[in-house]
Order: sequence, then C-alpha cells, then structure tokens
Amino acid sequence: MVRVWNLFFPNVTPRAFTVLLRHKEVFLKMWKTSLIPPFLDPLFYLVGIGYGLGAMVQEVGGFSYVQFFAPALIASVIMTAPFFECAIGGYVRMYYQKTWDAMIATPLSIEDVITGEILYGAMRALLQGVSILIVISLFGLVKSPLALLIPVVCVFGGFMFGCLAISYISWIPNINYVDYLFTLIMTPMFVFAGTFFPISRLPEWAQTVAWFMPLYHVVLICRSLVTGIIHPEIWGSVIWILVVGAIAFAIALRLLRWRVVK
Amino acid sequence: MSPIIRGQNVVKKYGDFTAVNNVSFDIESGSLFGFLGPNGAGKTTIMKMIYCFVTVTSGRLTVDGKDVMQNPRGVKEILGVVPQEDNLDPDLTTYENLLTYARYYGIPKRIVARRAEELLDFVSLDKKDDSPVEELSGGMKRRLTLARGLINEPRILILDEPTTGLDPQARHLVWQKMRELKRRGITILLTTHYMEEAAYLCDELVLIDHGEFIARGNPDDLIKELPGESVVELHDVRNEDKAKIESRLNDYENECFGDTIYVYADSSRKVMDNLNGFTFARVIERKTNLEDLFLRLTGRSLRD
Repeated sequence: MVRVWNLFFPNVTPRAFTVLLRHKEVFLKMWKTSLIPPFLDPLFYLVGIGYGLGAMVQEVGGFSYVQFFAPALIASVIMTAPFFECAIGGYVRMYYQKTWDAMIATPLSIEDVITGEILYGAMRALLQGVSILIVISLFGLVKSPLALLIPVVCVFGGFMFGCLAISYISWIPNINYVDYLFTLIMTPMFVFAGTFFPISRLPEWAQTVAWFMPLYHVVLICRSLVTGIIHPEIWGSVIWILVVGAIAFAIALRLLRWRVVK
Repeated sequence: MSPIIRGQNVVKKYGDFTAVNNVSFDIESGSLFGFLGPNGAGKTTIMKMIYCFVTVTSGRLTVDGKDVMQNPRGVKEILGVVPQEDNLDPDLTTYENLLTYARYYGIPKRIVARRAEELLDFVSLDKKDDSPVEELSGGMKRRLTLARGLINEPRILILDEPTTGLDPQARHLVWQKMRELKRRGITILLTTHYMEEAAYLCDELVLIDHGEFIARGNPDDLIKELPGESVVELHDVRNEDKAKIESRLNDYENECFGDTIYVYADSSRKVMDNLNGFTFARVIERKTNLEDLFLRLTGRSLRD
C-alpha cells in the first residue's frame, strides 16, 4: 500500500498538513476581505441571471431556470476558488515571497508543500461552496437532503481543480500568464460546461469537448444532489473526478519538483 | 574527530554550465568553516546542495553520515538555514514566523513557545514579536531569519552571506551571535565575499573561483603564502609612469591594477627611497590580508 502510494505520489507525508495550517492561520487574519467578494459574486449571478434572465426563459429539463442554474453556481466556485488560490496565491508564494523555498529548507519536501497548497485550494472550495449552498437554500432552491453531500464534492472537486491550477504555474515564466489559465480554461468551462444551459444545446462535437471539461462533471453531481433528481451519468462523473484528480495530483507533484528543485 | 560534512568530488551542472567543478572537502564538527569567493563563484550552490535545495549532479555529499540525495529529510532535520535572500513569511508576524516554522519540523507546541521567546531575546527582537515582518528593517529581518534558523536547535547552521547589505552595527551583532553559537558547539558554515569577515571569524576556509577551490586552510596560514607581511599601496599612478616605476621596484614583488601599484614590502620609506622624483596622491602602508591573496590568485579584473 505504502509502496503503491509512493510510486504515484512520492515524498507526500502527513507533514503536508503543517502547510495547510499555515494557510489557515493566514486566512483567519484576513478572512473578511478574502471571503466576501467571492461570496457576493455568485449571489449577483443568482439574482441577475437566475431570477432576472431566468424569468424570460422557459423551463430547462423540467426545472425552472433558477433551479437549473443555482447548483451550477456551487460547481463554479468549486473551480474558481482553488484556481485563484493555487494559481495566483501559489505563484506569489513560489516566486515573489519565496515561502516555498523557506518551507523546503525544513524536513518538508516540495511534494509536502504542493500537497498543502492543493489541500488549501480544496478548503477554499469547501468554504465557498457551502456558503452558496446556504444562500440557495435560503431561496428555497435546495430540494433534497442529498445536498448534505455537497461538502464532499467541494473537497474532491476543489482538490482536482487545485492540482490543475498548480500544474499550470509550474511552466509559466511570469505571473501574467495566469490570465491565460482564466481566459482559455476557466471562462470556457464556466460558460459551456452545462452551467448556464444544458450541453445538449451544443453541437455534437462540442458536447464531446464538454465531457472532457472537469467542471461538467462537477456541475452534473451538484445538480443531482441539490435537486434530488439523480442524473444517470452521475456515477461515471464521480469516477471521472476521482481518476482525473489522482492523475492531476501525480502530475502536479512532478511538475513542481521540476520547477522548484533544480 | 570525524567530519560532520563531507563532500567527495562534488559536481553541480546547470545544463552546460558547471557551477561547482569537482570539489572535495571535510568540515569538522564544531568548527566555523568559510566559503569565500566573488559573486557567481559557486558558494551558494554548494550551500544549496548541502541543504538539499538543489540536486548534486555527481559525486557524494554527506551530512552527519546521511547522503543529501538519499535522505534529504534526515539531513534537513539537523540543519538551520539562513539563506541569502530573505524568505520570511510576510503574511505572518515575527513571533508567528517562528511558531509556524517550528511546526514544519514537528516540534511540540509547549517546547516551541518557550524556545521562540528565548530566540527572539537572543537576536534582540523580543519587543517586536507582534510586528508584521513587512515592518521590520533589513537588519531585523536578518536577525529574525537567524532566529528562525535556530528554532530546531540545529547541529549545523548555514549562513549564506549573512551580513551583505547590513550596516556596521547590525553586522557586528551578527558576528557576535555567530561566535556565541560556535561556543555552544554548533558547526557553522559561512559564505561571504567580505574577506575581513572571513579572516576574523573562520577556523578554516576555502577560496572559490569559477566553481573550484583555489586555496584552503586557516586564514592566518593562508596569508603567510603572500610574499610579505605588509603591502604598500601607491595611488593615482599615471599610465606613462607605470613602466618606469615598476623597473625601479625590481627588488620587490608588485602588481599593478588600474591607477594603483601594490608593492609587497615592509616599509613605505624603503619603497619611496627607490622612487625619488615621483609623487603619488596617496601612499598607504598596511598589513597584508586575505583580500590580497584572493586578488593575487584570481586576478583583479571585475566579475559579473
């Protein structure tokens, strides 16, 4: 068991949690400023698009538009929270603040540090995902007790997105390239991965592309859990997230060792 | 006594560039060992290999018997590192920096609180424990980095250019702390390009240039390798006079660099007796030092 773990995820130890604790402490110092904007953002979307635009839209797959759209908002922060944290925060700590350099002079390995960063991304996803779950439940949009499983989706989904974002920063020469992650990867997923409209509206080739988008699977699961109407593909999506998350984690560890330890 | 750090034919290459070229060294436990050289000589690279921050391309490097490539965690457990670039955690206060760092080593909480206070006291930062790191001066940051490097009670302390950019007061404080730590039995590795600093502190040192050791030994012994115990510096020599002056100084070892001639001689008066008819803006007579040896071995031309 240990040997298999080391083969895929070398040098990752429980010490990674000490990195997570460091992030927690820093977060608690400035949670008011760093939590409120990403919390308000989806609220505006919910009211503006869900109710405003949604009033002019017919039902989608048997749901009112806002009912269709609200769970996708949870999914979207499961993506955006770790993307911002691991890409921008990660780059700042890697390159500008040299926080990682200081950490790996201790018994922490670079893999411990990266794992801590990704776990923190997952925690940010959890925090924001649950906040939105609470908000949409206040609007009466949570229809099933299965929604109590949303935190689990936040952690695993957030972990996967954290791995992707941190892998991305391993090969960019400067922080401006983070924009491309947002413009070319995050925004298309946010718009096309079944968030605002079902992917069945897309041409067939684009539906295939959408299936390869991690967000598509997270949206599907969130929508099933919030509405209680289980989409038949959901098990496939669960496996998709776990497999891609594990692969992305293994890749992230290797890429960041390559970037940091010369 | 057996060496606590041992390098055998250590090589570090970055692509085609050889930063450290086949060096071997033994560092005795409890000594203060210096690595001296100009910028880019390979000092920092050697330090980084010892604290497992960069890989060793070939050769073998062991710390307390542990190979840096095989057992980096074991090596890092007993090291304290004060790197050249300040990498304190800017999101935390002075005190929190120590607590958080201690946690990376897995030091129990009850021990840490007391130790952190002692260390802040040791580096005279006890009144700054709640200050954000950003508000500390350069000298204070260095001292905090030193305290941080001691949080795990290391057996070996690595100081990579600890005094670069510090004012004289702060520099003297760092020197004093180093001697105090040495008395406690900690092995100290120091890199610097200040020769006087090295001569003043080190038990043993190596001079490095272009990734190779060009001299090693005790600083006092090394200085004896120079042709004399004193140097006379003749400043503001006019170009057209240089050849004439040098021809009159045949009895003495001398070197010319820019507008200055360095003459290895015991007395400026004897030198000046040979130079009737020449005037110089300034004539300085002083003891030879490591810097003379270093510049003699490496040439006086500028490094990049």
